Amino acid sequence: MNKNNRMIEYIRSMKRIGGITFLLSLIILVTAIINPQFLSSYNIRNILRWTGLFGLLSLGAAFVVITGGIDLSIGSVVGLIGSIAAYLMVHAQWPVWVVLIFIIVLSATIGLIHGLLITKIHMQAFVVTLCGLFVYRGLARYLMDDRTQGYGTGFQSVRFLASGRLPSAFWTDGQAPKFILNWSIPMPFILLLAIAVLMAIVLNKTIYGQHLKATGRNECASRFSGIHTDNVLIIAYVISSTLAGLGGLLFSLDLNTVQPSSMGNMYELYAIAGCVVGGVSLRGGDGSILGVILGTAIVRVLYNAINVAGVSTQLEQVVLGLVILIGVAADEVVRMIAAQRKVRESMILAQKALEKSKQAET
Amino acid sequence: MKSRLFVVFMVLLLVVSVFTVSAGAQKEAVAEKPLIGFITNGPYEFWTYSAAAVEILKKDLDIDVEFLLPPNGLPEEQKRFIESLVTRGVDGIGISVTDPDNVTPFLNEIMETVPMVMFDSDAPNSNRLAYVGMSNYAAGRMAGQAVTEVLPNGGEFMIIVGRLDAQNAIERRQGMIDELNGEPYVAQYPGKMTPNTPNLKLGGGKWTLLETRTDGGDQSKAKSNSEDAILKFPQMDLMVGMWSYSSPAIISAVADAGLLGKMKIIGFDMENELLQAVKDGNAYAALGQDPFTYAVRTIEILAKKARGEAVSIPADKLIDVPALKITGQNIDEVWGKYKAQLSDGNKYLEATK
Amino acid sequence: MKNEEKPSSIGHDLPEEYVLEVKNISKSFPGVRALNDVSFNLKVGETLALVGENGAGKSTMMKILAGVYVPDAGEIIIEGNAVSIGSVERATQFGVALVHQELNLCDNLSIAGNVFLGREPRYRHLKKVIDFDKMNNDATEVLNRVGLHLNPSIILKELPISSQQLVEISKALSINAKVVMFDEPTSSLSEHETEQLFKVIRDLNQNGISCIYISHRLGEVKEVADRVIVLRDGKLSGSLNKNEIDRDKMIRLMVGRDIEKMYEKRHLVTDKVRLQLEDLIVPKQARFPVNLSVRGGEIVVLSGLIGAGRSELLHTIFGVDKSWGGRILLDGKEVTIKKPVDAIHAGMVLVPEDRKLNGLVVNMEVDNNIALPGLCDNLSKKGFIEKRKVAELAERMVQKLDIRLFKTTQFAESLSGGNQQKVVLAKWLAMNPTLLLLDEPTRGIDVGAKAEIYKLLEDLAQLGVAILVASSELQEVLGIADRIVVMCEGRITGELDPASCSEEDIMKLATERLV
Repeated sequence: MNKNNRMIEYIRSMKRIGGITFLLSLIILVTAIINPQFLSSYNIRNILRWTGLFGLLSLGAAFVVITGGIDLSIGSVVGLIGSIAAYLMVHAQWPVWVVLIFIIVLSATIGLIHGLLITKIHMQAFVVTLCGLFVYRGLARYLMDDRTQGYGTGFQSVRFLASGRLPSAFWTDGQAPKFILNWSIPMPFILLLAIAVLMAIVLNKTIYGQHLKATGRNECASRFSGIHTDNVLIIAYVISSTLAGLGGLLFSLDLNTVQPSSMGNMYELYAIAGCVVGGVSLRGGDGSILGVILGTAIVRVLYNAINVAGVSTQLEQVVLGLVILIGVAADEVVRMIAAQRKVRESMILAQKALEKSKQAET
Repeated sequence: MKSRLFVVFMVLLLVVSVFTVSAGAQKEAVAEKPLIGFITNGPYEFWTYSAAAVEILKKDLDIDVEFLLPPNGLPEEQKRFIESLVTRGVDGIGISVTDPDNVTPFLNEIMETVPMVMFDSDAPNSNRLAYVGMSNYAAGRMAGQAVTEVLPNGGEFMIIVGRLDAQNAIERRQGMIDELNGEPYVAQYPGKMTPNTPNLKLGGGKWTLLETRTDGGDQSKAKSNSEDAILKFPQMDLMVGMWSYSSPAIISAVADAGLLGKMKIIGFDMENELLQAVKDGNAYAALGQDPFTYAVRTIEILAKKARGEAVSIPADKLIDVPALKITGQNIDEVWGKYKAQLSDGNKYLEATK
Repeated sequence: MKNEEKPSSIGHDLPEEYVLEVKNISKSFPGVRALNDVSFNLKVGETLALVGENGAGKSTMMKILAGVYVPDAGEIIIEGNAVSIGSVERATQFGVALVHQELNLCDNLSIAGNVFLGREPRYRHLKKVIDFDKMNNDATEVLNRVGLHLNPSIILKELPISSQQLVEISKALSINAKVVMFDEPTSSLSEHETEQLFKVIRDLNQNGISCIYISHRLGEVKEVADRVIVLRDGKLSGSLNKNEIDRDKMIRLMVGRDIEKMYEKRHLVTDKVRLQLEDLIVPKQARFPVNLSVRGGEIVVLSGLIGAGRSELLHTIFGVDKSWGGRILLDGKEVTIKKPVDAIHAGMVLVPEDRKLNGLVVNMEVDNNIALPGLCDNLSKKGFIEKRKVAELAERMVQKLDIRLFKTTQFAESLSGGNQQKVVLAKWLAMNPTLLLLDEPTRGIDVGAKAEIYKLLEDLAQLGVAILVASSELQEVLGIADRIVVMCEGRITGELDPASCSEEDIMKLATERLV
């Protein structure tokens, strides 16, 4: 029976993912027809790398969005952590592993502060994280004196996290066969997959995930069930900021230069867009990790497709906005039609039952 | 209540910090030497190169220079600096104006008693002695020159920039286009703009500007724009980065594609990444500004004026400090100079803190 | 299950052991004294019924015991130890569980997920990971105890409301409680399900578990309770043992006066049909086209259980939800109603169920609240509000409805529930409607105010206004109606004449489900 249940659950979740997968395939197909180069290993690699980098931010944002909240500070955290990481490694010359631990702790602390302000002082998440957006951006500029940070030519080992690829890196002499060289997966995407698997387990298998979904849907009922809803929310914000911080590190390693004043601007909106396209409801309670990754992929593929298909650079935001809008609207319309069909069916059934009872009377 | 207390605390903190800064500015002044004020538009690393000039100029010209960096780059801060300099009996002020439209009347008032020279950022409608700065248009012409050198037989190229509505981007791009089209040379921007259409034929079809792609100031967008360009135009020979972060993004994309050395790169500004690429032969040229010379020219004029000596200033009051064209030939020398200036400047700033 | 070794008969008649003692509990909310010095106790294995009018303090008492509220004064003693409960978690630890009146579930989780929410079974070695197999198995066991034979991994929102209620009960059972409190548990259950529930309660008693049962269905109380205590206006007004339990006694203790006088029918029903619904299709919930008519001067009451689709029907008539088909005729003429403003122009008004949410702008002055619907028509000139007319109107309505307030410019939220409801009525009566729709007009207001609202409806009916009321209180239904229309799951299951029917007749129709 349990196996059967799992099948049903699986099919149900696939239905939700189905629309997004269709949209993604459609964009890929159309772009590939316009420019076959779109499917070249070089381009696929690039798309995977960007999906990996932005996907981390979307995953974090998804946890907050599932609670019914919002995190507007993600982009500024990316900028702050990205520049601090570069500064500490290059200028302060801290050991790499110390820097890694430090920035994880720092970004988790940022999330902790957000969570405490939201739950204990009862501030609105929008306000808290909006202030965060300003504060961390300013802090990054102040701490770095507005100087661009970079890694130069060094730090190849840690930069592997962002610009490396597997499995081609196993051939230490760089003599990997051409096929493997072409189709090796960029590290950010591998990291994303690893973290996504972890997060999917957290969301679907652990007590925390269950409480997260419950709190997002019905906070009152969750509190009455003895859940520490405050802690649930705090942890969601910690996850969001920590992944944003990790994203900041990877972005800075990938780009090799960080401008504290602009790095990560608007990334919170890309992260939330990824969630929304991936079927995470801003009303809270609903969302799947696979959906978030597909949603992020759609946004990244779209950006790439716009360039590759030769749409004017001024129009790209228009295309992006419209495709997201149409995708989400189509999803809603399909659901509405399904609901109406259900009603029609039951009306016909009821009519039949009524006729039958009338016949029985006569 | 608590939040109000916090605001009061922050305001107090601000007031105290301003006081300490201006107190520092009011250190003992020696009467006999002329005193020149040099006010930048913010606390940026860029100005460290200028600071390096100050130490040398002090000795050479036998003057005192007050080198001031507004901590937040705000017009109010510049105003306060000017006022405290005037109270100390300053003999001349050089300034990079942050808000020219609104502070011009105030500056004119000051200039009734104290002569001023603008550098880097002008207030064109004020009564300044002169403006010292780089013409972005001239720098664009220089970049165009570099294109003819690196692609003497013609070729296709791409421009990566943050926004095309920014004045410096317009002028730099236009300078390149005019140079490649062989227009007669002028140093100042003639005020026209070639629209951003794909496949712009230049120099009678010899060179093709494939596209000018914008990223709105987002570094990672700049990188993905570069990647997409590499994919879309496999025959492309050259990429030009117009903003400071553009060239590092191009270099990163080119490196990932394994095209380092094959794809030619030209960039503006003196980012370390770009200079390193020039040194390694992965980029053809960098067009750098010269903040050191800004300081030299500005302070020279003011010092002469203070001593009542004759100063030669062109009729249009514009003093062009041309961009530095850095290529494989002069990279070691120029970079060495930059590094030396940077460390001198830092020393000076440390000492006067 | 600690008490299993005891002989099963001990619970009922031997009063030796109290599982719970409540001493001198008081609790105030801003403006209301919800509980005033209430004391009672609960024996092991007995079912104690707690009855009283709405607003008498029953729910507050429950929420204190469940740890949702902290009492201002008084003592709670569980198994001889004075405890302070304070949080839901501690209540659970002490073995006190509450089955909520409003559904308190997360409809995005599975049945099992809801039953064990906050107490999910985990793997022995992976303390943070849910053991879904164990959870589903345990849930199946608990669900069987309430007679709900469903796959526990079904997502809750796919269940009908009545089954969701049983999930809520299973949730309380699953903590192995010593005391289980039921807050109006049968308000959405069918007769069969109610009997199933009583069986569950008796099983619990057999196993030494005590129950507190809140209901104002007095027939049920008589059937299930061993003892009754009655609350009135936050005070304990009396206690009845099993052999004393009697409907009239309970009513007397609840209202403190004779109930019959509250309703006085004087109006005459005219022949003129004012509202006629022909095959009206209510979106989403109703699977059946609705046919219904209300005549001038007639009070028709829609009765049924929670979720029967009465509010939805009123919303569709009023244009809050757009109908999916059918016709609405007013005075014989078809009207198209797409949004509430169309309905208002057609001469109908709706007094909604939740007055704080939909009926009033609570942080606005009384006079502005009353003037709100008429602002565009006759209270303004060229877009500017005429203050004088607003004040006049407010003054007139306040006198007419006898709204007790200090001045008409005080905020609506500072009034008592009954007076707030009168402000809502005033606001709509100022529009001189010919058809008045009311959704639970007396929910949560005191007896005196109720009587006044009944009198008001009576006066309006005398003036020839057609009135359609949705009400869950059977006393009220029988008292005010000229005709009772009963609904179940979106379908009209029958019409009754209040003069010749009983509460049981209504309940029978209200639970007449199609399977």
